[in-house]
Amino acid sequence: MFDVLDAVVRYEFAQGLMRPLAEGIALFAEHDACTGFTHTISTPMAFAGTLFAQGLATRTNPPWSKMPLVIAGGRLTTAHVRRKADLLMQPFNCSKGGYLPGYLMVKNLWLHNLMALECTHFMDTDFYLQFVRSYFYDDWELVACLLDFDRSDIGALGPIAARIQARMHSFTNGNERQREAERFEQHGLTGRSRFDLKVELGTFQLSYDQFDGPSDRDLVGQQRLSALYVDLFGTWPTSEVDQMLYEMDRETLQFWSTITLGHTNLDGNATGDRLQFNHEGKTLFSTAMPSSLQAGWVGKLDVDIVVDTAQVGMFGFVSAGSKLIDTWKLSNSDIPDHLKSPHIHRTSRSGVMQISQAALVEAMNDESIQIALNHARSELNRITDGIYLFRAIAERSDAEFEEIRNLMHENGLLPLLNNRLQLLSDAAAASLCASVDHNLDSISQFHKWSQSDAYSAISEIGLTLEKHLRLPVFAINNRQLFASGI
Amino acid sequence: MSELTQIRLGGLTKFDKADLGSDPGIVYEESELDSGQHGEVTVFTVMLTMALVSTFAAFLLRKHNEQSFEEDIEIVHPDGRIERRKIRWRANSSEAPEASIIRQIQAGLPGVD
Repeated sequence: MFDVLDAVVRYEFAQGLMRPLAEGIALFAEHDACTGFTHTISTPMAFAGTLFAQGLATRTNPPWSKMPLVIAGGRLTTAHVRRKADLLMQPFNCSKGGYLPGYLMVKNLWLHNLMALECTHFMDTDFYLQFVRSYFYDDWELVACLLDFDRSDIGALGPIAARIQARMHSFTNGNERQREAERFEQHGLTGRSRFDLKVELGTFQLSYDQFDGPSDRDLVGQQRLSALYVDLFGTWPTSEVDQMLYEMDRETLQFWSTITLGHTNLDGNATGDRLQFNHEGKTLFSTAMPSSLQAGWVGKLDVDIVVDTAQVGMFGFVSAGSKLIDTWKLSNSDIPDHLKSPHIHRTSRSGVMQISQAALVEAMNDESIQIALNHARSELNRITDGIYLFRAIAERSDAEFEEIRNLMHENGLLPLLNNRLQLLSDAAAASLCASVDHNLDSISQFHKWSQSDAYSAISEIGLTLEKHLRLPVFAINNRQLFASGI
Repeated sequence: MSELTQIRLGGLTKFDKADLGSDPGIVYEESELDSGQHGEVTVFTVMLTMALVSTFAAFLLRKHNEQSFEEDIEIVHPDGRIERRKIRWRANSSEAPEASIIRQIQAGLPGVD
C-alpha cells in the first residue's frame, strides 16, 4: 500500500510543480509562437500548418513562408483578443493551474534570454517554444530524481523540487545560450539523440535533446528508467487479467505521442451501401459501408479523431463496442497497428480501467496515507507559488514583491490597469499583433481602441504596467510593434 | 411575461463575466470541468432575468464585435422547463442588431407581443 502512496505522491507532486510551466508553454504556443528564420519547426506548428487555412502554409513555396499569415488569421480576431485578455486577468497564484504565473514566467524567460543573454535565435518564437519545452522536459537528471527509490514518498519530494528550481535557475544564467540554441537547431536537422528501453518482448524508443554532454546524473536517470521498464515489462505475466493490464500499459506508453482531437458517440445505421452517422435523428454524414457490417445493422458508434505527433499523421477510428468497424486515413501517413488496438478492445479496456481506478482509490483511502497525501498537497501550493511568482515578474525587494503579488492575486493585470477592462483588451490586442509582426493599424478594423488610436492606448498601457512590472511591456520600431512582455 | 423566466448562457470566461457586469438579476456559477478535461481556465454559466435582456443583447454584440454570430442560449421557464434557442445575427441585416437579438430571445414567451 505504501508503494502506491510513494508512486502517487511522486506523480502528483512533480506534475503539480510543473503544471504552471506546462500551461505557460502551451499558452505561449497559443498566443505568441510564430515561425521564423530557423530551420526547425515545433510539432504544434507543424500540425497547425496542415490543419488550418486548408494547408496554405504547406502548399505554398517556400514551405511555411505563409505560416505567419495563417497564424495572424487566427489570432487577430475579436474572439482571440478576448481570450488573451481573459488570460491576463487570471489569478496570479498557482492554486488552480497557475496559468498566468506560468505564462508570464515563460514570457519573462524568453525576453531575458533574448535581451540579457543575447540569444538571437529566440527572435524566432516558435524555435524558443521548441527549445524551452525540451530544456525542461528532456531532463535526465529530473528522471533520476523522480526514480530515486533510495528515498520514499515525502522524502523523495525535496530533490524533485530542487532539480526543477535548479533547471529554472540555469535557464536564466550563463553566456552560452546562443551556442546552445545553434546546437539544438543542428540536432533537430541531423537527428535527435535516441534512447532505447529494452526487454525481451520488445523495445520502446525515446527521442530527446542533449543540451550538454551526458553527465553522470544523466546516466543515472537512464539507468533508473531502464530498470523500471524491465521491472514492469521484463516478464510476461501468467494470469489473463495481468496479461491484459500488461498490454494496456505498453499501449499507454506507445500513446504518449498521440492526441485525441475529439471523441463522440453517434447512432449508426447501415443502409444500402452506406453507413450513416446520426445524431438526434439527423444524419450528419455517411461513409461507404465497412466490410465488417451488413445492410440493416443499427447500433451505437464511437468515433475518435486522433493525431499522432510522432508521425505527424491524423486518423479516424470508428468502433462499436469491442469491434473496430472502420479506420479513416486523414493524412498521408499509414495507420500504425498499435493505434488500432485501444479501439478494438474499448469495452474490455474500459472495464479493466474502472477496476484499476477503484482499487487505487480504495488503497489511497487508508488514513495514514491520506495524512501523508494531504501534507504533500498543502506543501505543493506553497512551493509552486514560491517557484513561479517571483520569476514571472522582474526582480524586486521582498516588500515590493508582496505588494504587487497582493494586487494581482485575484485578477492578474487588471488591477494594475486601474480595473479598466477596455485597456486590458487593448493590451491583449497589441500583444497578439506583436506576435505576428503586424502593424497595429491593421487591427483597428475589428478592435475598438479605448483611446483615440492604438499608439495612445499602448503608450498608456506601457506607462502603467512598466511602473508595476518593471519589464518592457511593448517594444516599437517605426510604428511596428515587434515584441511584448505580456 | 413572467419575470421568473430566465436566460442562461454557458462557457463564459472571466473576461466575459467582467464585461457583462454585475446586477441583482445576474447570477454566475463557476462550471466544474469533467475529470478528463485539462488545460482550460475557469468558465462560468450566467443566469439572468428577462428584465436584463437589453443588457444581455448588448453584451452579445460586444462579444462578437457586432459581426455575424450564432449563440446557443437556454430559456428557463418558470415551470422549470428548459428550452434551447439559437440566437443569430447577420451583420448585413437591415434590422437593428439589439432589437433583433431581443426579439429572438423573447419570441413566443407569454406577455410579449
